[in-house]
Amino acid sequence: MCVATVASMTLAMKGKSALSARKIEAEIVGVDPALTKKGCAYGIRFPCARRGETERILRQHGIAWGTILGGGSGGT
Amino acid sequence: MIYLDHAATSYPKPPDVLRAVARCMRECGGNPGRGTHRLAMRAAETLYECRREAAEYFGAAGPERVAFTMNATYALNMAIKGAAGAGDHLLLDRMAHNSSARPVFALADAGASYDLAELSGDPERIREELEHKCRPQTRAVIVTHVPNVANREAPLAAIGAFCRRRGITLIVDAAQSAGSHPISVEKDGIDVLCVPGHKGLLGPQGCGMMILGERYAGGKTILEGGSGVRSEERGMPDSPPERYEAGTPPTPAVAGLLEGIRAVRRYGTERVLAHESALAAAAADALRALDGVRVREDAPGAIVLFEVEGMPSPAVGEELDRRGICVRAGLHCAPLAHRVLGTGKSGAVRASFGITNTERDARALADAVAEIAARHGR
Repeated sequence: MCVATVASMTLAMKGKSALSARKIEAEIVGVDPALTKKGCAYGIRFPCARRGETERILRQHGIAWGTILGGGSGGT
Repeated sequence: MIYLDHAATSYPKPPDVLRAVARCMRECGGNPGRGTHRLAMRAAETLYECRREAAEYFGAAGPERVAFTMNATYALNMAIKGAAGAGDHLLLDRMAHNSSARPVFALADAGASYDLAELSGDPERIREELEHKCRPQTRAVIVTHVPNVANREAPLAAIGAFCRRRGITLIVDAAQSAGSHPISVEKDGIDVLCVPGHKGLLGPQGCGMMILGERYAGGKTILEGGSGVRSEERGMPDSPPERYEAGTPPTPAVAGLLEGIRAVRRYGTERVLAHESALAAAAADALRALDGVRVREDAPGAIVLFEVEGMPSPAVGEELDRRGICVRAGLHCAPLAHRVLGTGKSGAVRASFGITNTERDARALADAVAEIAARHGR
């Protein structure tokens, strides 16, 4: 599974809701503060196999993500 | 008991609101946005659902544009103090409640300046007044959509169009209009809409909202603290809504507010206003027919503002309470508006109707005032 880090719980909720509506299994998780450099953060966990589709959906909904953990780097 | 003080807070609340508050306290006991265990997530989902519902209802760009505050006053303080500082200029509605007037006065004491403007009535006259009073240093126009002592309404879309053209932040106090008047943050060009949860939206006391327009880049924060994210940074997060939500939000109140908004949407905003206006008009007509009673406001809306000749307004309020009728008397925390209405010295009696009132309540008010005025006139 991959995790897209997002700036807030609200954006994590919005992202999860958008992905679920498109039948992508998504879950909100806490992210190790050591990985973000900015302290506590949340992420949206999704199947790495659907990374391209996930990024497109998040972008469509105006949800900026920081890093994608677990499947190589990337982000907005 | 007849409750005619809905402009202060709505009562009784819909049963769904009461149930939602109790259910949330029983089942969503975690702290929203603070961790991802199941109870924290249930609380976070409650907030998110309410943000989504409010964004849809008020025509905002998305749930992330809805920040929860303690009430409309907190929202107005954050919006106004976040928008301006020393050397800046603000334009304040003459009908303003102290919830927007006092933050402006506080800024003025710290080196800002302000002017008062008449922002309800004819849009063309308002546009001219805005042209005349706005300066290059004007940072925000603060509009009272509907005042708490009168029924006049500010034409938001016209004011919004002016502010957009001039790059001025439009802050709207919707304390009396949210839930009874159609408002669209995006279509009306509003930057910050400040809303209480416990009045026309039928939610519990203890929560309000600051709903942000899509073009609003965000102002300074006036409250800082835990936000659940970016804890290594010195300031609040850059993006809404967490930027404006320092500390633990009032989750049970938000759960109630969610059901309150749903109740209003089921009933229909236009129907709310029509119902309240019809009752207030019936009461006002009956009061006007009485000797020694003066009705101050004649525009259609939920409020009837009146005086009994020779009686201080608190005495009338007390007499009505003895007869089982709850109204509010005095200056209603709106001395500026009372000055405009000609009741600035001793205030007036305000009866404000809500969705749960009936024609019988309007008649009972008129009968009770008739008795009080007759006794006093003897």
